[in-house]
Formats: sequence, structure tokens, C-alpha cells
Amino acid sequence: MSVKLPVADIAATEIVETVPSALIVLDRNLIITSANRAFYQTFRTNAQETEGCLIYDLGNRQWDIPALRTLLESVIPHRASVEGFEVEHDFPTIGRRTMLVNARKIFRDGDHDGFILLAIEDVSEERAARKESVRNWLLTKSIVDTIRDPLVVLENDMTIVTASKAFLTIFGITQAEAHGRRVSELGQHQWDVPALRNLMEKVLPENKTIENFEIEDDFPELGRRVFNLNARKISQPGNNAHRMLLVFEDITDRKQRERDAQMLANEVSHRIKNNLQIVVGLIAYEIKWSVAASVPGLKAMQARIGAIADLYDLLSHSSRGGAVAVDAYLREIAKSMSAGLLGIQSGIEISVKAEAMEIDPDRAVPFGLLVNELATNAIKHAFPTGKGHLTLSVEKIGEEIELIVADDGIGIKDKIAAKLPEKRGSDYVAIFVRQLGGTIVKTSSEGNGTVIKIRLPLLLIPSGGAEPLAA
Amino acid sequence: MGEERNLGHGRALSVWPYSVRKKRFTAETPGFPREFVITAERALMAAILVVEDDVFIREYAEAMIHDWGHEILSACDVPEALVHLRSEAHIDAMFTDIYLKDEVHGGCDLARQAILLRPELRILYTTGNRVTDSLRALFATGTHFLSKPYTEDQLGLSVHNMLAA
Repeated sequence: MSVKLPVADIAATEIVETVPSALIVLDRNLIITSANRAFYQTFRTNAQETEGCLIYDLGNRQWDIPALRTLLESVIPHRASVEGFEVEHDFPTIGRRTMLVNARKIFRDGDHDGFILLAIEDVSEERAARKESVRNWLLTKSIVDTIRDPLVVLENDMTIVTASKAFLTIFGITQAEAHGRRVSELGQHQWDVPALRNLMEKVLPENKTIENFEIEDDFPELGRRVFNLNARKISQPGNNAHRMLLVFEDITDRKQRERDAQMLANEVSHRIKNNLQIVVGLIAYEIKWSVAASVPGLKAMQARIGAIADLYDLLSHSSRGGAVAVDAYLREIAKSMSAGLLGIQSGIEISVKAEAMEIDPDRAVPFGLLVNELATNAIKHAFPTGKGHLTLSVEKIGEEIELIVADDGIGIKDKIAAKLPEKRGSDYVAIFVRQLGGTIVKTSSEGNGTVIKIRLPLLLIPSGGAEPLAA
Repeated sequence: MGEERNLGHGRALSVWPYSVRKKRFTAETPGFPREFVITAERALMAAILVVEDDVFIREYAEAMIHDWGHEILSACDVPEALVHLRSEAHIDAMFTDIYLKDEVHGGCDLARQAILLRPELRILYTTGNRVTDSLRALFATGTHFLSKPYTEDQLGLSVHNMLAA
């Protein structure tokens, strides 16, 4: 069974000697009658030097402070207790300190004037921290007022602490009207966007920052605007409550330019594809009215135009001055060709093996046409059963690109190849390879397939010794 | 018995009466996609509304679709298409360009309205622009898409897939 000891039963001496506050008792003549251990430790003195001494005479007169005199001689005689009396002083032994003094008159039976109990607490550190905090805050406010971008400092509960001029202008309110209100309540609640509120409520607890969060709306007197928001938590040393800094960047003009450019690009793309469609349509009419022998050639022409159209999308969406991603292009071609393999040909699989690389736009078209040509030839002749594998691959080898079109079909027999109406097809291959500045390294044809290897330079140096075009 | 013109790949469609056409196309006809054969045997003839603002391209598409035995309705923009869709005319499917006259997504808006008017309507979209995720989000569910430029074979396959669904 545990024994209980109420605090009130503990001997006063035990308590007095344990509390960290410095305690000192003065008689009515302001002579020190006793002090506790904390007092001796804080002020680096002892009982012999202290007891019986006039408070002002203690040590080297460090307590001979005008403020203390006022407290003891003017205030205490009229009041039973004083709390929170601050004394700031340069103490000879311990330096500049701020002391918080509580004073209380104590009477014992039969006394008239009683004693004075002083509790002295060194609050120097807290005061310094608070001063530093105030200094920082004033600095922050100055920065906030100078910045041109709309900027707002929010309390932990999302209410506004202070806002820059630009922010107040947007919402058409004064600093006084903004203070203490939530951002979401301002104006016509246009900032009350669930996504924004959610982000703000996540930032503080999870210690994240927000960057580049876009918000678009109609603002009274400003019209439609697009803002880019950044937010960051501000924590101050010695202060547990976190505030948040929210900056808005007006990117309306930039957004408008981007949208205009995109619209223009769409326009142009639409025009060009329509024109290519017209060409394909014209060829279709030719096919309708031509002799049977011409039809395959005309259809091949349509397919080539399709390959150029596929390339156009990649070109128009590429960066860095129009260099084309070869791997992406190959996959586009494979996709289009696969989509066109119907019925008896649907057993043919086309796969692509390509590392990331780019080719200059001037060579992108002949490159695409070359791949289209080789793949079409393979599809037409290598798979009489309608089943098989075709692989398109590109690899960087030193300063060159190696293009391989390989199939596991029946292989080419030279004599037959010469007789095929596709002879023109092989001529195209030769033409495109020359245009690319490359060479056909190998055409091998075993019984179980055909492999065509072509090497092209990674960089094409135009004749005349101009600077090399980067691939 | 009718005039035969060689249109390549056995597509002597336009000059034979339809019932006779049915018999001419078999799996042996060289190069003729099997899917088309099945189409012909099932006599799948549909009424298709073609919406395209470029006259040449629209007529090209219409000529091909007509050759395959379907009935054609024409429109060059959204308002004209809606006139057809709101009429009593029988329409099975709609083949529409996306970028119509000044409306960048005219075809998508049209498709949405069309489905409200005729819930069973099949739809095939086409465009020359790149299909981004945001554009794809504007397509109604269960619809088909064909990119420009398309050849007759590609159009034929897309129309067939759309009707067979």
C-alpha cells in the first residue's frame, strides 16, 4: 500500500529550499532576515554575507537599483502584493539581467508592519528571445511591405497576420480589413478552392512547402488572372506556433502567350494534316482509275505519306530546335504498321529495340521513309503464312547509328528480288541511305530470315565544311 | 451483267447491284481483308453521317464509304450535323472531324450532343492533331478514333470496327 503525502504537509523549509526561484525575506527596515539556496546560487553569495544586511548594501550594492527602491519603498507600503515587477540591471557579478520580482507582505500574529517576501526570477533569456522575435518580425514586415508580388503571412489557423500592398490591391481591401480573416473568406470566396485549402492544411502539419501551384479565376477589377503560388512555413526560435508565408506570382501574360502558341501550333498541325489528307485522297482516286499493276505503287505512296505525317507530330512536339527522338519515331512507325496488319497478316509481330537518341530534323524524314520502306518490304514478302516477327532496332556504335531491320521470314532470293515490282522499293532504300550519308553494311539472308544493317553518321557534316549539325 | 472496272484488290463495288456484290467477295479474293468479306456476307449496310469542313476530304470519305455499300448523310459543321441528327432520318453512325470550322473541339461537342439525341449512335472521330490525354478525355466512351491522313484501307477498317461493335 502506497503512502500519500499531500504537498501541503511538506515542511515549508523543504519547499523553500527546492524551488528554483530565489526567495528572500526582508523585515520592515528592508534588512535581509533570510534567503533560500536558490538565491545564494543565483547571486553567488551566502548566508553570512546576506543575513542582517540592508538589501541595498548587499554584495557591491548590486541591489541598489532605483527600480527596486521604488518597489520596496513606494509600492509595497500601499499594496499587499506585487506581481511581475520587472527589473533590468547590469549586475556586477552576473552581468546584464532582467529579473522578474514578485513581492508579498507577510504578517505574523501580533506584527503590524510584517515582513516582505521577495521571489526573484531570472527571465533574461526569455526576454532576449522575445526581443529577438520582435526584431525578426519587424524585419519580416519590412520585407513584406517592400515586395511587389502579392504576399501574405498566415497564422497557424489560416487567418491573415499581414499582407503586402499588392495582395491588398488584388482583393481591394485594407490591411485592417485583411487582418484576422481567412484567405478563403476574402473577396467573393474565389480563393476558397478545395485544392488550395487542402494543400495549406497539409503544409503546416506535414512541414512541406508548396511550389508552383497554379490557380485561375476571375478577380473583381482585375479580370481573369492566373497565379502561381509558393508557400512555406516560417518557424521562429522559441516560438511553437508556426506561421505560413504565401506568395502569388501573376503569370497571366505568360500563360496567355503559351496558350496562344499552343493554339497556333494546333492550327498549323490541323492545316498540314488536312493537306496531307488531300494528297492521300487524290492518290486514292488515282488508285480507283488505274490499272491493277499501278495499284501497289500508289498504295505504297500513301503509306509513305503516312510515315511523313507520323513524323510531323514528333517534329512539332520536340524541343531543342527540332531534333527528333529516333526511338519514339520507330515506335510510332511500328504502331501504325501493326494497326494496318489485318486478317491474314495479323500474325506478324513488329517489335522495336531502341536506345534513346536523336536525329537532326533534316534527316528525320528520309530516315523515317527508309524504315517504312524496309519494314513494308519485309511485311509484303517475308511472311507468306501471315505469321512472323519483324524487329526494328537502332543502336549507337561509336560515332554512328546502326539501323537494323530483321525478320524471321523466308529470306530473299536475289533473282526473285530483281523481278519483284518492288525493285523500285529497293531503289528507294538506296536513295534514302545516300541522303542520310550512310551505307548499307550488310544484307544477309539465310533460310530463316533477312537482316538488313545500315550505318549512318551520328553527326552530319554538310559539304562546304560548315559546323556539324548535332544529332 | 454490269460493267466491271478494276479497282484493285477486288473492290468492284460501285457498279454491281448489292445482292450480286455479296457473292463476289470471298476469302480467295487476293488481298481483300477477311473482315470486309464478313461484312459483305452479313450485308451490314449502315446510314452514316459524315461531318467534315474540308469539302475535298469529305467527298473522298463519302465516296469510299458509299463504295462499301453504306448510305451517306453530309454535314460541313456542327449546326448542319445537328439538323440531320434532330430529323427523323435513320442514322446508325457518325464519322466526324474534331476541328470543325472555328471550333477546336467542335467534333467532341457534337458527339456529346448527338449521343443525347440518339443514344445508340456509333461514333468515329478523326483529327490531324496529336491526341493528348486531355483530348482523349473529351471522347465519349465506346467511340472509335482514326488519325489523319488515313488511307481507304484504314478508313474501311475503322468504319467496320465501329459498326461491328
